[in-house]
Amino acid sequence: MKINNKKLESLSSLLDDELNPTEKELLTDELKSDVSLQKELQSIKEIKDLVNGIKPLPEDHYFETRLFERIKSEKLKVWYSFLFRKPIIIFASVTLILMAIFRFYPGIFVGFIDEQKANLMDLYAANLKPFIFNVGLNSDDIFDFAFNRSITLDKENNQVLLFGVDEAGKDFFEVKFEDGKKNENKVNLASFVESLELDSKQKKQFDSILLSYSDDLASQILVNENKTVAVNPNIVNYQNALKADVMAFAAQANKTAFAKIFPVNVGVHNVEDIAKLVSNVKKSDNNNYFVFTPDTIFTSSFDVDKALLKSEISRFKDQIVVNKDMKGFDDEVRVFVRSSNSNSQRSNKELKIVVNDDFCKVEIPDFAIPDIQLPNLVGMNEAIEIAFGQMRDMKVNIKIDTVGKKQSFSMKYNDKKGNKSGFDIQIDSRGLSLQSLDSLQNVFKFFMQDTVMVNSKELRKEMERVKKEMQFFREEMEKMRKELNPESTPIKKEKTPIEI
Amino acid sequence: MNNNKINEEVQTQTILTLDDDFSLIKRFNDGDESAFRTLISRHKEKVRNLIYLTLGNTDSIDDISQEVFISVYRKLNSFRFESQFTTWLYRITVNKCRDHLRKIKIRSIFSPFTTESENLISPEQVPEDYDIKLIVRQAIATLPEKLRIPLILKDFDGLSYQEISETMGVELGTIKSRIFRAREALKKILTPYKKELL
Repeated sequence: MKINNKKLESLSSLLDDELNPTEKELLTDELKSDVSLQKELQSIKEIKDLVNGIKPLPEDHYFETRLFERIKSEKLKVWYSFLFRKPIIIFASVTLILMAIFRFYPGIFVGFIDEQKANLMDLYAANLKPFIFNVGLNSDDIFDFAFNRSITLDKENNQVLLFGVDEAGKDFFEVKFEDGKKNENKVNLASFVESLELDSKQKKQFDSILLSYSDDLASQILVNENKTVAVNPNIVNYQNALKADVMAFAAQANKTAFAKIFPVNVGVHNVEDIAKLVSNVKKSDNNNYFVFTPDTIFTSSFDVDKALLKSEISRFKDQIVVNKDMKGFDDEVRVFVRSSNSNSQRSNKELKIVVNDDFCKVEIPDFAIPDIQLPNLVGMNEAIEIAFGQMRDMKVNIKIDTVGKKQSFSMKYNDKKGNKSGFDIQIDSRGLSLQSLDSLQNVFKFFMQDTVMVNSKELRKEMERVKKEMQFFREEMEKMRKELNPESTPIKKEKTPIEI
Repeated sequence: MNNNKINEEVQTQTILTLDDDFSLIKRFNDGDESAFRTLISRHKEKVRNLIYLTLGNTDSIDDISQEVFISVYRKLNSFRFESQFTTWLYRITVNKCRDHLRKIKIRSIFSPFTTESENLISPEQVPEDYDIKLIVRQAIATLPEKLRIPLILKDFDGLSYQEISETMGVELGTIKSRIFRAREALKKILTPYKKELL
């Protein structure tokens, strides 16, 4: 008789003692009378015993030790996973922490940044000393400072400090590497002296006026080996005082020449006014400097010991006399700048700065320059600007045209602003003669004697060249006339002035 | 009278054992790490052998049993004392074994050169000094997972149908049926070895 699966399943459960009492009783009764059921039960029991008899694994005595080591490392991993697998939590936490810090300590980072800035500023401002100990100052340099608004800081690299006024009328300082060619176009001390037709005595006087400012200028510009340049804004007042001083001297030294150079009324100051002005400028000396560094520009306060500076300048001059090739002064002079007051440092964010490859420029705020009143300053500056501009920028082009019916002669020059001005002379070809050509010389003669451009070197050179060309032209004309009419004699004609 | 005394002693011992697991858990939850160490030493071999028989080899026993107890360590504070600790422990163990077997299956799909499972030795090749019990273990390993685990929990670990049902999350009737089917399958596998086994 075949036993169904249900019955066999019940046998299995009976063996496991998982039947309820009724099922157990029924099946037990059935087992007593059914041999096949007994055999099945026996076979299931054998299987059960086999499974039950499987040999267990040998005991692992170090399991706990290994497990606890792993739990220890897992505890750390939990922290790591919390921190690193949840970037949002980290960012949120960091943000909250920063917010809390900014809420309760708003100045903590500002203070830190300011401290770092102050450290950097101190580094750049270390060992500052007056620049004249590095480059020296002669009367040419001081003249350049007054009228060309520049002082050479490094003669080898042609690095200059410029003082100027921009189009908006704001004063500015500019440290730049100047092109050598541009220097050629400057009005220098020699040409100014020549224009004034000063004699040797007057020239010495002029030099002494210029050099009298060198000691004062010494404390206005400080430099160090970190390529830092510190400029005192009061230097602008020194520049104006020096200009007024020079103009007063020039006006007194040669009134005629002065009137030629400055045809407009300059409004020259008297000696008393200038002395007062210089005194005021010296009194208004302050310790605030604009500091140019390779990385930044800022303002800082330096305590310059002027008494010590004076004695050291004297020592420096003595050394220069002994050793004319001396390139720089010894390091002891660094004691002039005793300390810097970081509290007065002004960040470069508050300054208007323009930086390019070869220059850096900073606008000087109005409050930075001590207010020294100088009457007629604006008028004087404008007159100097115009006169020096003419002397500096005169470009003369002379052209003689003999191709057209009428012979024409034109001479043009460019003024400071590039506008073309000049003369245009028309000469009737029929009346062209050696005499008329000669009369041109008179024009130039007249021109050279009675115009303000008399001192331009370029004009003189140009005139020389024109003279030679005229000579050549005259010879050519003479040759041509002889070829055309060998018997004719030159027509005599009265000299008539040429209208200009 | 004597019989009653013996019954009482057995009952007290059982209750004490249960209480012991529970009290160890409570102690651990109160911060006593040594209670957890006692729990491990009490149950580690059962867990290791369950893993051994479920997987059919010894390769990953240590790793999986450690994972089981680390899970216990992490989850012990959420133990609700509604079932025996062993049921809860076996459920974690069975789930870890299933995860492992699933991983092996997936790995075998992508890499045909993974470790082969232990094959059952043929009846003709069984040497005289061969460990007969190894044949039974190998035969169990050939059973499907859903039959193998209830059979081991019943016949090797001695759990009741109810406990197996709770451990596996399967109905009691299904467990009853699966255990029977597992025995039937094992009987078929082992019939050729009857001579060696008996």
